[in-house]
Amino acid sequence: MWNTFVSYLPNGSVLLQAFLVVAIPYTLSRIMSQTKSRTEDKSVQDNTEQQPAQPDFIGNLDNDLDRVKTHFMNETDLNIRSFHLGHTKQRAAIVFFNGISDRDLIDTHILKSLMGDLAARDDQSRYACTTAYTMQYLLNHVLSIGIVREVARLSDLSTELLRGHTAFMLDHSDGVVIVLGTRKEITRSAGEPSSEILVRGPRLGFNESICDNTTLLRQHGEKANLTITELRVGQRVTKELAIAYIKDIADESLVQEVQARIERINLDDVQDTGYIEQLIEDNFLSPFPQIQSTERLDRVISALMEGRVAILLDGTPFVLTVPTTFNMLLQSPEDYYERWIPGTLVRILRYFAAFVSTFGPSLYISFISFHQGLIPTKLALSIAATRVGVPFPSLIEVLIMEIALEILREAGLRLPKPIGQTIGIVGGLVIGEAAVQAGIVSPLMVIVVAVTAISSFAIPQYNAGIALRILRFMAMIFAAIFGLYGVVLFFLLLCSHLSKLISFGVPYISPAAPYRLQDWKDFVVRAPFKLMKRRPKMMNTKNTIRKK
Amino acid sequence: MIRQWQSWRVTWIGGMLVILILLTGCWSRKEIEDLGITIGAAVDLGKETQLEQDFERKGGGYTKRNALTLTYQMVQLSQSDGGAGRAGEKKYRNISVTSDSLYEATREIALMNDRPIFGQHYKVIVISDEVARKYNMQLLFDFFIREQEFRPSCLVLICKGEARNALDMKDKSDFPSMRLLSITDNQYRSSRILPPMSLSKLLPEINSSSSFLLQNIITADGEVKFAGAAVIYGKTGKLIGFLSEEDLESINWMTAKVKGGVLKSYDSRSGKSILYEITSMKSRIRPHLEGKRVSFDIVIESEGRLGEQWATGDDFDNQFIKRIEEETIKQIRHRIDKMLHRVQKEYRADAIGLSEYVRIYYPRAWQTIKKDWDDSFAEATIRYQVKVNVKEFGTTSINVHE
Repeated sequence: MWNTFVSYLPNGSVLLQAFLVVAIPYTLSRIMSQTKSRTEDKSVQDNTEQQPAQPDFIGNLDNDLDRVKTHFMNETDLNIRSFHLGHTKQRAAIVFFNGISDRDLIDTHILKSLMGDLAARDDQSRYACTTAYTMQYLLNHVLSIGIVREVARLSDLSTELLRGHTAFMLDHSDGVVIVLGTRKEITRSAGEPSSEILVRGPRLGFNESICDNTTLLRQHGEKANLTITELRVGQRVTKELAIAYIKDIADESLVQEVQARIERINLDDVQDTGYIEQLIEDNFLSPFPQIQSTERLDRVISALMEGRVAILLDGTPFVLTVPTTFNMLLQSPEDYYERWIPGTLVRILRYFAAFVSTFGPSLYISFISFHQGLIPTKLALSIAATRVGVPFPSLIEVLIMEIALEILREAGLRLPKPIGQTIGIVGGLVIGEAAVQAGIVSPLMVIVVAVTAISSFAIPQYNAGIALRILRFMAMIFAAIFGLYGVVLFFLLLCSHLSKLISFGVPYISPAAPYRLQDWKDFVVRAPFKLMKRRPKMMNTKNTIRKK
Repeated sequence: MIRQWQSWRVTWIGGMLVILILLTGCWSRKEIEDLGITIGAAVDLGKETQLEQDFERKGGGYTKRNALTLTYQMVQLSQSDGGAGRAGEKKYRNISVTSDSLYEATREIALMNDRPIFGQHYKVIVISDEVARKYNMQLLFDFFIREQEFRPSCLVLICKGEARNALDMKDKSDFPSMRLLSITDNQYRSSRILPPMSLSKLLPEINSSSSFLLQNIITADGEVKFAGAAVIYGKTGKLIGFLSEEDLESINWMTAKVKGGVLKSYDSRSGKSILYEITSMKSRIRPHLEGKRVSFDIVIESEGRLGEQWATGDDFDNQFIKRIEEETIKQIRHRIDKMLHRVQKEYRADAIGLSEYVRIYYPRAWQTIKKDWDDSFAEATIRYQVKVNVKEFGTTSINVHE
């Protein structure tokens, strides 16, 4: 009785396997949910600073200047210039930092107006006048500066000074300091972006100045109804950030969501939009970029016209557009500039290239190591003949070449331009040829790796290319364990991940997975403009008509 | 702090588990160069090779009755260049093993060769006529069909004489198995080739125990030729005889399985030969059933061109073209009569495959007559009509009477 019962029990190894099948996904999900909750905890903010009731400036110049001096005790490039207004005895001072403020502007439009021009204007009548100039009078009649701001707090003043503005202080005033916009920017002229090059289309890209970038956006068209909201990010180093959207197209809830997520960033220094991208994206564990970053003006404009929101940051030419869907990463602005037939064909080619760059080596491994019967006989014979001397299994062989290629790519990136080309020749031709000659890898393998590499270059967005490169290695390991079955499993895994992924409320593989046939006109094919009459439905835009 | 440490431990253990599972290795992985890619097989009556006799003298061997000799054609991989070996170098290797069981013989090769047989690239299986006469096809192909590593598109051929000779070739730089397969592609040039019979097509024929034809090949001096067909009798599943090349051609005409070919006839006036080239051939087969008696009405229609003539007739003369048509019809009728006599009276086996038409037209009656179909076929009346249309005479400008 007992023995019959025992004979139905699975043996130890089966039980172990069953345990592992349950335990591994469970532990992984636990780990992930823990990391997720930890990041969410951090995002809860308590940012309520107590404002002291005591004013920082009292209107006495000596006292106020002392406060500024003590605040910037260690800065040697702080420049304080005190003077008398016109011919009067009334004292005034300007405070600015050397270098980052526009000295020319200060000399000609601030100092000259306050001293020389004022003196000339009121030469006779005001010479002995005892009534002091009011700040209001000076602003309205004397100072010929465009950007003017009043500040009452020392902390505000200090940030403005550090950004290159000039503080104007007046004796016998009402405790208000005027900040005059004298910021000098070191900018690069707007040229063609080097990371995204087109044959046809505008040669204009963003540069590092947010001022220039918003200008570029505004310049695009007259009646665009473009709204640019400015925000500040960074706790220690504050930077200007702008959210741009088209008021009568973009979904309001989307704009609010973007704003809310950006306000939640509590980083002390935001150096690039890359920081923002990582801090506001939906799933930080996914290999796929969920936010598009681009240097191209036309890409941003077209995204805005589809009802997306652009995020610009001072100091970087890369502009983020949200929400991003997977098909955006495989599209190029050129698809629209050329006629629709070449546009469609090139786009289909790019989808194919994306597939090859992800699954090329893994298919090679599974055919060579598992499914030799699926190769045509003559090809199988020639492959077998070329592989006779190769000492490694196909996975190791592919890994060697793929890793060599990745190193080569990374090395070529770092080198100065003229040497970069040499690296390509040395690495690609010499190492490839020598590796075959030495019998470490087979010639067909080199072809597969080369085709894969070329395919990955055909993807217009660099970060999408990286994602597919990472996935390629995972696919290779799957293929090495289970063959074609493993590749299919990996593909299904990828599909289930992609269909779960959401970018700012929009499903990542949007026109495909929540099935919207209307949006397919601009998905794999690029339909003629006569057919694309509406904006993408997935964006839930206020105004849907693109063309009547 | 403690919580953090715990989560690290969990991560660590999880990672270890993943690595341990992945490191168990890649199962069922076998690199392509480690396989003995086999492209052909031949089955002969048991006769041990010199090598086997030597092995046995030295103590190798096991209990066996030496019923069959199985020959495998394996590819010799040469590293020099992609498959194409140096001139004169043999690209293949034939291994013969004698045993009672084909499976055992196959596994015997694993004892003598570092690359065991890999059967997913089989191109041909050649059966010697002696084996086919002695063994039922169902038993003979049991192994090839049952085996998981087989290719259903593999071609089945009968060879008169030693089948293993068909897997040899004078020119060593090519594969004999591939050559046999490629010859079947020449159907558009000759009507004396049977439509290729693959393993997957053979299976239903065997299971329904109907008679069928297999392409026959003959060998001489390291060369092969497709010569006629072997008739497999349905009830016994054994070979009962051969059809000549001309008989095979007649069957192809009748079933319209012709993609091209030529037909020679003799001009009745001059006695010189005329060549008619078939460009298309159609046939309508209509069976009739009266009680147990079966009869067929067959209409064969062909279109073609005048390919060659030695009769010095005028190509532009419609009377002459008419005469050619008539001569061709006469020739076809003569040949079909000969063929019908052979299959109906001599072999009494439905090698033409007419049973298919009866089954389709009379599905209920077929259930009762299928058991003795070959006998019914032998008694059946076959009426046929031949229409030939010479549409053109090619590029010629010779007008003999000028």
